[in-house]
Amino acid sequence: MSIRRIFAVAKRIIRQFIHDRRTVALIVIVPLLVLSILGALLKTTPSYEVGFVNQDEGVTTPLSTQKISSAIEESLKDTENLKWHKINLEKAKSDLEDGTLDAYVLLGKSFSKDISERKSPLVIVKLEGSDPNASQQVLGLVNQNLLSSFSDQKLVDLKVDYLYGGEKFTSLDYFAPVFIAFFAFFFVIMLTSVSFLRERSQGTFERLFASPVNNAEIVGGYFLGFSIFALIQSLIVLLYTIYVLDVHFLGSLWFVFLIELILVVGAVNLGIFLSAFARNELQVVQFLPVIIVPQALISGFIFPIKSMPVILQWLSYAMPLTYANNALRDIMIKGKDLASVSFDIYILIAFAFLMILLAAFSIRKGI
Amino acid sequence: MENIIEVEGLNKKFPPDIHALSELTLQVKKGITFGLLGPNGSGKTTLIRILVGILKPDSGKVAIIDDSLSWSEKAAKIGYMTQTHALYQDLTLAENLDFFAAIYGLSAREKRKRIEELISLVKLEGKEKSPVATLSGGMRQRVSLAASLIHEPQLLFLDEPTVGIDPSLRREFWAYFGSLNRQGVSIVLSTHVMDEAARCDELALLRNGKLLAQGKIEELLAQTRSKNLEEAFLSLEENG
Ligand SMILES: Nc1ncnc2c1ncn2[C@@H]1O[C@H](COP(=O)(O)OP(=O)(O)OP(=O)(O)O)[C@@H](O)[C@H]1O
Ligand SMILES: [Mg+2]
Repeated sequence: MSIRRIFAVAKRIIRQFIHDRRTVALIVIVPLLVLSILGALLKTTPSYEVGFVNQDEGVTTPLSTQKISSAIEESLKDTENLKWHKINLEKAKSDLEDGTLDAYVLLGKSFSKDISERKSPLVIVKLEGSDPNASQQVLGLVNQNLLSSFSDQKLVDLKVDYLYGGEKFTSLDYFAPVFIAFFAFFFVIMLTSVSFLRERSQGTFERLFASPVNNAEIVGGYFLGFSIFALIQSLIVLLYTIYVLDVHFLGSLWFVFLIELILVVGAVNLGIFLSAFARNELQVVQFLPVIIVPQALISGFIFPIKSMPVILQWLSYAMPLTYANNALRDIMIKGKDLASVSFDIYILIAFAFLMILLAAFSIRKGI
Repeated sequence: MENIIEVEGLNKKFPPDIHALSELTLQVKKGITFGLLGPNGSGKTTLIRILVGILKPDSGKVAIIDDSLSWSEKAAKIGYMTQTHALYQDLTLAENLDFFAAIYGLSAREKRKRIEELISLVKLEGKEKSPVATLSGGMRQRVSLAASLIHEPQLLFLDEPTVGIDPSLRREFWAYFGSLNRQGVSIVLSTHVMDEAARCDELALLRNGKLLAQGKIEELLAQTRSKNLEEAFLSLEENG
């Protein structure tokens, strides 16, 4: 093993990168663009129109008739994302049908009576429902809004507190950490497999394999060369998310880099392995969706793993990005240290080793 | 050892059923230019790839340079110019040479000196900073030769080195090969051009992976009672 030859290979990779300005631009600009779009999407939540139908007949005591719902109705507040319309049931039904309303809330006739008798009152939320995603959001907003009016009226005692994050945390904060891993993983696999394929097709491997350089030195050089770019990419993405997109970041940058380095070892070797099964650049690029899309969907990147069907959960545990995502979120959002994500790190190391083995067996294929 | 290469009973098959080399036996003496002459598909490249250690033979013995050396020590003494250019198209001429020099462990100063010497040998002064992709075919061939000479190998394998090279430069290359021989460097080159083969000190005539004959040109001519190599080759083909 010669460090000198590893450096020679790494230097060559870096030079090839520098000559290829388009790729350099690509690996920096694409993540920033995607993050900016995502940031804009997550920051603007749409506004919903919700009807409020109060059929409460109140409770009659010998002295007076009391409507608990009136106080709630008074304390309903319009927010940025939710506008209340106090209407009767007929109007609510027709408005929901013609799309003027996204939902309505109905308080039943015995609302006050039930509360005074300590039974749970009937509250119906009727949703337009054609877009499940919107339904979820409306329901969430209505819940939140009603709950806070209930609590204003001292009907419930509601305290909100955050273990991690806080009111200021946005969805973007949740997504930013995993983007860093995702892009590094994606670009490193793509670039390694294409460069390796070129080595095979332009015959430079033929020359290298007749020289004193060995497989480990070639792989080492590739890893070194590509990790430099992966780290630069991450640094730019991190700085951009922190300073431009105002993402909250609690953890250590070094921990993030360490996790990424382990992931890049795996990615370089996976790229080498893939390149052995492709005859041209188009074929190798065709592998990428197969590797990338499932990981984007079920590694907890966008959808929480806990809410997935069991089979997909199992699959997600077979994916390296699942562990990288988990570790990066713990570090960046929860500010945890390496010891508390050691399980994820071990799995990533195991993945890297497995890929090194696969690469070692396939590196001279077709030579 | 007087011979720098000894090959005995070499066999190599490719799927489905191509006998690229069969029962090949030959010896190459130290310090000469040894030619592998044969038509397309006769096994020249396959033989060279086995000799440089890229390909494993199915059976047979190969002894090269000095058997007491390790594989990587031998590799450090071998230069290999592949049949295709085998250069990094996106790197410049100088960067390509710099990379191969570094792979062979040349120091920074040796690198600079060697790169300068070789660029002037292949007459590409002023093209140092050109990406290889922008060079002409013949120029790339010259860079490819330079890259295989970068570490001053003792044993040089050249797979059709002068294809696409203009006549005057070709003459200079042959003169350079001669001067390398005088410095003790052994050269094995493949060709299917008769007048180039005629410049070699010794020849092996190959056909369908079999050795038709091996020896000095005069010996081959005498053996077949021919006036020139072409005749000799044809007569060997008929009898073989
Ligand atoms: N990697 C390979 N896989 C399958 N067959 C191969 C492979 N390499 C060579 N062959 C076959 O082996 C035979 C010898 O090929 P080789 O390249 O050694 O010929 P050559 O003498 O160098 O020819 P040329 O003058 O065209 O360069 C040919 O029939 C070729 O098709
Ligand atoms: Mg050939």
